[in-house]
Amino acid sequence: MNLLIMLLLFALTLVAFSVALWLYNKNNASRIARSLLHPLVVAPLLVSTALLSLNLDYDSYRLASEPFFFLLGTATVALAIPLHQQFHHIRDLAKPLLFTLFFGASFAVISAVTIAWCLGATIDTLNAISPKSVTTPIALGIAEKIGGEEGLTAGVVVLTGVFGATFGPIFFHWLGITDDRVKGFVLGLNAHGVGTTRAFDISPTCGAFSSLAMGLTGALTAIALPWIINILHL
Amino acid sequence: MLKGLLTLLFFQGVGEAISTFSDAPIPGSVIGMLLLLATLQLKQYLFNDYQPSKYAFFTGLNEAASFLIRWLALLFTPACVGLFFLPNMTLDQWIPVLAVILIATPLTLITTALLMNHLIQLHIKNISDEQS
Repeated sequence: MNLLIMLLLFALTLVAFSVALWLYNKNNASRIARSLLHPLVVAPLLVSTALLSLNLDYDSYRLASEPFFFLLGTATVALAIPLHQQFHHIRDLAKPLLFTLFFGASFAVISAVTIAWCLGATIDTLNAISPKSVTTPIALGIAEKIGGEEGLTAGVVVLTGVFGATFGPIFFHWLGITDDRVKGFVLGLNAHGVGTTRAFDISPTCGAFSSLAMGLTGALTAIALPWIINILHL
Repeated sequence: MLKGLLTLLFFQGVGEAISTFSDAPIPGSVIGMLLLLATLQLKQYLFNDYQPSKYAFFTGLNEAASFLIRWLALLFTPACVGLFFLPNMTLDQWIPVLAVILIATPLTLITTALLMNHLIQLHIKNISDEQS
């Protein structure tokens, strides 16, 4: 393909993301409207609009974006550092943390798959949505292994994160939960990176527990889910 | 920073190699992450140093990692664009997908929050019982 087009398609992501970030920081709407207009919702919309209006095909864009996909793997490895820094919390609070992790990570997958299956989702759709509570780079790795559509997985994961991070703190208020460790761990488990960013707004402790939960949920789901799906397909 | 990036790439490569050759269904990058975590934990246990900076292999690791994590959202923007170009998605598949986001997410969120809140309170009570 033409090098110039490749370059433009690569730059398109950078431009769209910068515009989305600028809009996000500039926007002075209510907190809820603001967090639903997350750069991760706006930037892909901008890129898609540009691709459709310039009549460019998605496959060329996907090819030009290969460096992003590669670095996503590197970023997954980098998640080991916050996980390492927060690891001591597991020793202090082993029982509540690990029990919530095992229950929450399984419940997230089971509830999603059950609801989708009842509403008539096909196997392909079920595969793509099953890693929905896992941080996007890991979810994409899982989708590749179990054969889920990459775009659908990324979209569902991001929307889950944005939705969870927006309404999570409201639910905590309703349920009378005041412990920042619980808020953080639950946000990281359910709403991965988006939830962790939100958790750091609440307090540093909340953020630390959120990044811990995000890493642990990602690792646990990545190890368990592909095996379970392999067994179910037999 | 560059050395740190090389260390991350090293673990990514090892993870991908293990994932490819062992036929394990675990993503290579996750294997790399777990290996790096194990290495850092082992180093902390053996040498009792918390910050990964004392040896050449670990210099700049924090910087490289925070840089990548800071721009994580940018890195997966192209994957999200794929949502608008799904070839086999029909309307009857969008309904379960939306339902999962709008129903399963709050359901899991509320359940895990109540569970962990309860467990932490039990834990605090146990500790104060032991002390008294």
